[in-house]
Amino acid sequence: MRITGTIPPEDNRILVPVEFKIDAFKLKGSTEFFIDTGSTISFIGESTARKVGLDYSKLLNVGTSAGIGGQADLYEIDGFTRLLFEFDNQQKEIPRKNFLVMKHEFCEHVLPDNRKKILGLGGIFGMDLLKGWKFSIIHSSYSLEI
Amino acid sequence: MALKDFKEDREYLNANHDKLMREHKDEFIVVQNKRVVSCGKELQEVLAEARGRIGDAVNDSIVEYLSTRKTEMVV
Repeated sequence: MRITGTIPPEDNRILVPVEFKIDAFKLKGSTEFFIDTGSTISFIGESTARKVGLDYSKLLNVGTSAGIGGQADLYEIDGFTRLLFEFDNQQKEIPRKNFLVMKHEFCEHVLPDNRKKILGLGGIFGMDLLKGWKFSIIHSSYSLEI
Repeated sequence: MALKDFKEDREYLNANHDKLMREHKDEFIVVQNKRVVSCGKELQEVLAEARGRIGDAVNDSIVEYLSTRKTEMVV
């Protein structure tokens, strides 16, 4: 399945809309994953986790991640999380075992406004997933084959 | 399908971004079915209010923070 689009000039972000289903908790929802070739991992962001009512106390804390805004705790969702893509009347489901969820621990120097911007990220597609796909950018057009 | 509605809400948000920014400066908003169902400064409170109004439909809503500060994202 090939997803194509144009990178918006106002923010230069590529956001991929995805419906997801979490088998272990019978939860589902929709969010946008930000394509980030600078991230080694993919994960569901905190606003998305809280939006669908994911309970962090029922997840396994598997470590931390380091970023410019400080560090964040990483939690693992037991079992399969199913990522459903839709583009041009095509659909594709990609099941991922032990998918990750992030919970932020901001450094004191991170302004409240910037904390909220980071919190608002729906999710990240990092290199762990991107290396198995085909992703290209030509000028302001992008193509993602999954 | 939920994703189709989600995409339409994103299109609504993008098309009305300037108006929504004027009405909800530096606030989180929750958009569902092409309307803002809750807004406020704190994410948890905004999500709780949205869930109280639209129930599980919040799961497929758009959550956006409308910042008036220009900040580049490096994540």
